[in-house]
Amino acid sequence: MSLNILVAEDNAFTASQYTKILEKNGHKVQVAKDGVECIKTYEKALSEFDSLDQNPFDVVLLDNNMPRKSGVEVAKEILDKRPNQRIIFASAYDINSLIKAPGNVPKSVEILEKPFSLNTMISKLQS
Amino acid sequence: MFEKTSLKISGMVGIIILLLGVTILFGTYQMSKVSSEIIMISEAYKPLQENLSKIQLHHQKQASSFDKIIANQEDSAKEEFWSSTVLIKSDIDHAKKITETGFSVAPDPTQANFRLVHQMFLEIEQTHLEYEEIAKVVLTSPSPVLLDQLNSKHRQIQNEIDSTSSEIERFDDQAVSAIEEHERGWLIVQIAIIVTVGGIALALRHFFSQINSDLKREIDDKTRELSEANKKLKDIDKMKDEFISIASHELKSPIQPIFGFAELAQSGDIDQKEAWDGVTTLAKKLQDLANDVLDVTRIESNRLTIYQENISLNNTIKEAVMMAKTGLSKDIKILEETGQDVTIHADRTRLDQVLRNLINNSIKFTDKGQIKVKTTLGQNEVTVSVLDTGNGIPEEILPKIFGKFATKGHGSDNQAGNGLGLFLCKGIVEAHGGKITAKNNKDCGATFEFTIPIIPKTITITN
Repeated sequence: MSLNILVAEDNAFTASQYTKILEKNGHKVQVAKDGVECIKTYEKALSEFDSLDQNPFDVVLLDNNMPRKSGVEVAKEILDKRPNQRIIFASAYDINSLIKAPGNVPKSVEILEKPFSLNTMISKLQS
Repeated sequence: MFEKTSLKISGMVGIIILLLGVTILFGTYQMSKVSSEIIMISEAYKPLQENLSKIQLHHQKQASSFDKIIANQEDSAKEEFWSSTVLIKSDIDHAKKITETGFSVAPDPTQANFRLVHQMFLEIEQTHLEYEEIAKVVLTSPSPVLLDQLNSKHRQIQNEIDSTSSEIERFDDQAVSAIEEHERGWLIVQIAIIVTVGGIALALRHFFSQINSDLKREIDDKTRELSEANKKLKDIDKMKDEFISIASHELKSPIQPIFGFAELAQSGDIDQKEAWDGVTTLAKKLQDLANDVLDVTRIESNRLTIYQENISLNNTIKEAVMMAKTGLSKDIKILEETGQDVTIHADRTRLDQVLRNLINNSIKFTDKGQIKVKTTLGQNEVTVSVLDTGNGIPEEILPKIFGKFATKGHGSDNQAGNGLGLFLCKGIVEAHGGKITAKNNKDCGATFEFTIPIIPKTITITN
């Protein structure tokens, strides 16, 4: 099963590693290097995508601490447009307080706490 | 504090009321004392007047009895005459006793009055005795000469009684007016005391209200100072929390790619060299960050040690520029525009750190054009400027550009550095006694300038 994945990650090393392992597993990857770029990419994909029932990406993999716009803000904006979009948070940034603070992160968002093994990420994405 | 002051004020008011009360009490006592004197003295003068009128009455009776004796030799008239004599004597004795008590008891000026009255009574007594003697002679052998003498004695007694009576009257009036004078004097003294105490009370009231308002102002000032200090402490605490939060994230972020490199190298998805290069770069980044955080802590606790030596500024700049040129991947020219060389007393490593940081920042934000390092010699200091033709500094970042992680966070698009470089530059420059500033150029790019004090030439020569 090939997934269409949008990755938002500001660390160039990490982003290239994600791309490498995801493409190796047969998935299609688009990388955004900050929050604003991620929203733009998502909106562009949304406008090109003509189905109302399906989402433009199967999964959006978000780093929380990114320039210009944080992962939480990006997640909220995406969920405003597509409430059933699958989002995975991958962040080392004070993840516990992020999850526990009410109203901060929508409940449907999945969490991957950094550092994690790339294989763990793959199995989480494919689950 | 307020309670204590109000306690003092109420205590003072209490004391003032007490003083007023004492004054009034004292005045009342004086008044009662004065009125008792009035009563005493008038009581003494009154019986004297009564006695005098009795003496007068008895003497008149005596005189009329004597006339009767001369006219018809009545025995009853003779009895009346002699009984009147006894009565007159006893009255005079009574009056003398009163005056004696008066001059032994009464105060000084009144005492003399009593003495005078006493003297007058003695005179009356004497005259009366003479009258009695002449009367006795007349009764045995009457003669017109003796009768004339008797009549003149009678008139003398009358006159003496009248003069004594008027004298006593005068003394009575005198005593009353003296007492009135005394009372008036005391009234004035009392009024003076009350006015003085009232004045003191008013002065104290003013004094205390002054103190109170001063105290209030002082407390207000202190409260303001404290709340300001408290706010500052809170701000510092918040900044510290932010620092820890961002620093810990910065320290954690290279860990994920290190794991990734290891995993990908193990599975053979990337070659060994790529993995090791990546890990080395990340380790170097971690090391730099750890050093910078340590320096930040040193600067913030004023423990940054500067190992100063006499160095050539132009050489230091030349080395830094050379280092920047090697490894430069962009199409940028780095120019030196140094004038006459100066010797500065500075920490070579730290100064190099500042120069490299500023040059590398310029490289980071300049895609094409040039970077110029320039020196301007002043009287006591030298200004080093790093000018670039890059993007410039965003307006919202400019005021806090020398803060910690000013370029970090969600609002910025620079994540390449660790956000501590300019904070360290400022700390290092200031530790050397210089100043650092940043501004945007009119056309394009930014300029960073810092000053370093130069060693005066005289000292250089003596060295």
